[in-house]
Amino acid sequence: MPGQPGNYKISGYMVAALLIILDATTGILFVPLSVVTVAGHDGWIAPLLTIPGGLYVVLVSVWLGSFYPGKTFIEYLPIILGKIIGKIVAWAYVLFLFYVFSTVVRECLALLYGTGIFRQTPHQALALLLIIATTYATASGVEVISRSIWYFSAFIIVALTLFLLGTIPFTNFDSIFPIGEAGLNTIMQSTLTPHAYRGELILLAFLFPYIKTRKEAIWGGITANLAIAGFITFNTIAAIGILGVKVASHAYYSTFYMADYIPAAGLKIVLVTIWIVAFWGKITLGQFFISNGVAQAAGLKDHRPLAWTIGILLLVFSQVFYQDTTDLFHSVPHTFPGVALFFEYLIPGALLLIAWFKAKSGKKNSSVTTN
Amino acid sequence: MNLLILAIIIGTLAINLPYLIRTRRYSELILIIFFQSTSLVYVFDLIFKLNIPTLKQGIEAVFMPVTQLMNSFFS
Repeated sequence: MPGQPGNYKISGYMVAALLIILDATTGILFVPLSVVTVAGHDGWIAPLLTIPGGLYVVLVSVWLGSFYPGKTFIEYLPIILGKIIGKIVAWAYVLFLFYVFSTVVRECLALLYGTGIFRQTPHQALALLLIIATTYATASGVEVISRSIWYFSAFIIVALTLFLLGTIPFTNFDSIFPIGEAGLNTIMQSTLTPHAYRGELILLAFLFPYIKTRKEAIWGGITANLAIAGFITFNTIAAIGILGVKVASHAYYSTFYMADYIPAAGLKIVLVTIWIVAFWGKITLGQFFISNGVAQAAGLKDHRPLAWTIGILLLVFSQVFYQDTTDLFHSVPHTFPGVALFFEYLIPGALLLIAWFKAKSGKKNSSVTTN
Repeated sequence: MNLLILAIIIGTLAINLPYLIRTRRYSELILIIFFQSTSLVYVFDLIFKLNIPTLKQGIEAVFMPVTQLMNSFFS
């Protein structure tokens, strides 16, 4: 049954591809602006300093999943926290996912209009087309989602790598020196937004029951964490080296402005195409996790009847949450790190501790009973 | 455009209702009606500028101070 962990299992390669699309789609776009704004030419260090945070999230997600095999994050919350508190936290996570992915829909629209690709088309028309496409995949289940993203990710990763390699001749690498001039405190402060984006790897906990083995989940998670860090760091260095600190700290879409420096014709269109596909992948995964989360929190057998309804709600929220792009780019760096601290780092860590103590005390009790 | 979304929401509800009632999937029915009504409320908000509080405003009210605290910790 779609939405329920069934016979189809995702391989480690697919896990890496899904997580790269999930995290890097928005991370590559919006992290350079926030890190350069805070740390100036030392902003490129922040994505690298986020690697331990990403590793923590991956390991916590896999470890939690290993305690409750075959169950998703939403399903084992009531087992860890008790029925009432568990259900409250489960619904809180559903709201968290609504907030994150409505923002992602809006970020997608901000990109399409901000880069000047679309001008006259109403926002809602594009969002509606996007939601129709994501709903189709969401209703088809995890197999269709993972296979589609797997195929697309090959194209996205190769094209993005080629683009970043193409920026090398135009990058003034002297711009990133002297390294560490901003000071440790400022550099650490610049890691807040990248930590929030990297913490989205917590969605591995939602994906865990669909993965072949625990080893493949860890491998996929760690590979994705390193690849995302690499892409964002390289992109930030290119933004600083090509555009300079002043422009990079004000450019919402530095990646696309960099494309102007590379002589290849139509490069911007290629980049926008990559990002449309990547956003489709990210929103599909989000819609799947929300539909599945709502179905499991409410005790339904199937998530499919909810997929379209959730899609419409994502569309509507993306329109009412943010008045305009300025509001979006002001709100996200001022709110998302705080949200991420709780929902991506502290709560999963606390859940793991409780699950570990429960497992340990359970073993003790059973050994006492057998003795 | 907002009217189109409004029509889609009502249309979806109209398509889903008979099927869910016929198959007696009442819990799904309740959830769908809840989510559809929420989106309806916010589409009316978009059309008539009612300024109904949103989830985002609640999240901002709670977590913006947390982010500020994290920032001040490093500065």
